[in-house]
Amino acid sequence: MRTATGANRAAYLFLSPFLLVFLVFTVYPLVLSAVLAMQQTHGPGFARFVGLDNFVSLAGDPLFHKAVLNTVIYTLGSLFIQLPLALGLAMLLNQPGLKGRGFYRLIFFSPQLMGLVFVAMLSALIFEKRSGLLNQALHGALGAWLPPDHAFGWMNALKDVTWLDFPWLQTFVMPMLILISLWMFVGYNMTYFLAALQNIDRSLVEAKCRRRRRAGPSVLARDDPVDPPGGVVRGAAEPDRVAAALRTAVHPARLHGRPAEPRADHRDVPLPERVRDGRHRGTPAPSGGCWP
Amino acid sequence: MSTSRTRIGALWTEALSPGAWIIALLAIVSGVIVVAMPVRRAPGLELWMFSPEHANMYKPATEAWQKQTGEPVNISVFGIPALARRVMGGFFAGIETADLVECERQMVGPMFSGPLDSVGFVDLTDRIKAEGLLERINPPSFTPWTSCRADASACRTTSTRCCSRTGRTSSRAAGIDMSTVETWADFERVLRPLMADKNGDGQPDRYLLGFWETHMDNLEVLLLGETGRLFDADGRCVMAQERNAEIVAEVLSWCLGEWRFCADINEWTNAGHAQTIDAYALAFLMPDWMCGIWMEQMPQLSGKVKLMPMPAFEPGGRRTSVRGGSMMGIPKTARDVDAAWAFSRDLYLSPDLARRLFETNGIITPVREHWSNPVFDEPRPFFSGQATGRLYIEQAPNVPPRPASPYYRTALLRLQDAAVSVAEQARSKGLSSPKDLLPLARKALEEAQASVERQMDRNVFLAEDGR
Repeated sequence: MRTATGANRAAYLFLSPFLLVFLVFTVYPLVLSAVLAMQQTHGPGFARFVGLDNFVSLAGDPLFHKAVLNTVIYTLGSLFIQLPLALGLAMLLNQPGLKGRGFYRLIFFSPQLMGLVFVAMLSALIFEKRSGLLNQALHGALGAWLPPDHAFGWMNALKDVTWLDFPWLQTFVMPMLILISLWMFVGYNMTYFLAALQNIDRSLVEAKCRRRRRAGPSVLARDDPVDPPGGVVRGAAEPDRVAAALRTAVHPARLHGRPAEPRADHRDVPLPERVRDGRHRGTPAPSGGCWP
Repeated sequence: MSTSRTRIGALWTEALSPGAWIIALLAIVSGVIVVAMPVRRAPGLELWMFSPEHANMYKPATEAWQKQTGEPVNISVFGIPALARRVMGGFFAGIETADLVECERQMVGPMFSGPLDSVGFVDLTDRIKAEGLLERINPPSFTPWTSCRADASACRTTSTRCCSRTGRTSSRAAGIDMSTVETWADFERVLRPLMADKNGDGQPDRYLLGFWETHMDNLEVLLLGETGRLFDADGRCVMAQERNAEIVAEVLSWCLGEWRFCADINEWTNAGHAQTIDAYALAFLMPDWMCGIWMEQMPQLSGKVKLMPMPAFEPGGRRTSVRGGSMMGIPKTARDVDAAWAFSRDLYLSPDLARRLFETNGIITPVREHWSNPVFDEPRPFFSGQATGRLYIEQAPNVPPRPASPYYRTALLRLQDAAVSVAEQARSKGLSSPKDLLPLARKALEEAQASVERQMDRNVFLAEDGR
């Protein structure tokens, strides 16, 4: 019995550093946040308990609803435009034989190197009324011409506005924000996709190429497996392999700024064995590829 | 022995990496230094402010104070948000901030929205009354700082009177006599011929007034210029009153439809300055402090502009309004409240500062006894030889009062939201006359008032005060 108690004590002693840190830095702030959410405060010195009033007030505040809606629109706009575009750019840059790949990569990535303040100033210079570059260009190209009434429903509210005074940053501020974030981050996301694409096992790409050649032009519409040597790669398994390639490429790329290094024991193993035992993941990336 | 040393060394490196040990060591050393070293404040008064222009003007006064008392005045200038955060942080934590803080009007709302005990400034009401400052200073300059909850916490504002700047060259060339303009209707009628379309793009080449529905400050100027107001004397939000809706409908009609005569010109950007210099708009609402900004930032306009009293909405109406303002507050944690009070009183009542305020920044002192100073009668070359000081002083007694409220800025933001909402709806429906806009303005202002009231009503600290 004594021994058991002693063992318990020892266990708690060894657990105590974690427990202490966990209680102080996780549990206590969580509990305090819950308490704070039910208080109205004016600095730490003055607090009054108001129950659920903060939540009720927030739920009934039209501005909060508008803020949530704006956030959702911005997020969806960013996700559904930014990520596909980044993937598309990465696939274009991953084409075999593309000259100046590094230059294009720099061009697409370079907005990321600018500070947000400069981006804001640049955007103002482009989209501002009257003196904005875009409005100046539209005015120069289109002059006094405006779309006829009802040609574009959203433009009817701007009938009395010339191209020079077009309110990009007033009436169309949300599309402009999405566009600006697109410009800033599409190159950034592209580098992740590109790293992942370049890290896909050459054997998979080759297998895909062979499959395409064998299956002919209708391959995209088919779901029947056309196995490469080794009999493992199937069309239905492709997403899993891409995801695996992404995982293996993205984490090292984040940490070290480069794709994962190939494991030495993979280099000389023949393709069928590698594919069969699943060791193909993490093998070196081809410089280009027969990407469908 | 060497084996045990190796074991200990291995334990150290297993517990944390060398980098982590260095970080931990630095944390311990710096923590000990911070705890061990007492915070030494420089001797003398500490003055925090937001305006570098004001700081330059105060230098002679600080030098005079040092000669007189042997104590320096150390001035630190911060951006408005940084200053607000520092001051609020100090108030919340109850730690020393400065001996004097010069605040801009819109940053002080949160400082007065908590319990009365939490207001970090010294209540100066008794001192102000004892020294007769209420009689010496123009009353509208005091009202934004004289809370119905906590009385006066400050001793000055840069009271501003708004006049209109008009393109002198343009109006003179067109044979237009601006002295016949009394109301906004006159203003439009007299100047409308200048809105020609010479480049043939179907739109006027220039507009009459630099104003837009998004210009929150100028919206307030026009509202207060008439009998509009956001709060009553008891601090209740009255945004939705009928006169406000009428004014909002009227001024928004200036920005809408084919008869609009306003242009959206930013007052603070290079692009806006370029449009101003090009006379894309002929007139602007000009508080006195804006004169200094124009003189410094747009010297090309020297001799090309003149000031006139702001047109009224009705014949015989008020020809001026108010915009902006600053105050000097003494935090409760000031080391020597009496010295801080004496310095700020000497500073703000100084005839020398009054002269420099006007000469450098165009600001008219709110101290009425200085208004007879001949400097205000001197012709100003930038304004085509006008004695602009006298022009502003003539309007000073008519400056509308602004009641103090912790929610004044919230109300201004909601007013802007309302104006933008009305303008958007009007554009989509093709409306532009004040009569058509009035129902929209009523509804938008009611929603705006409800939003402000919701914020005020849920403030338990105001409720505890019986407000």
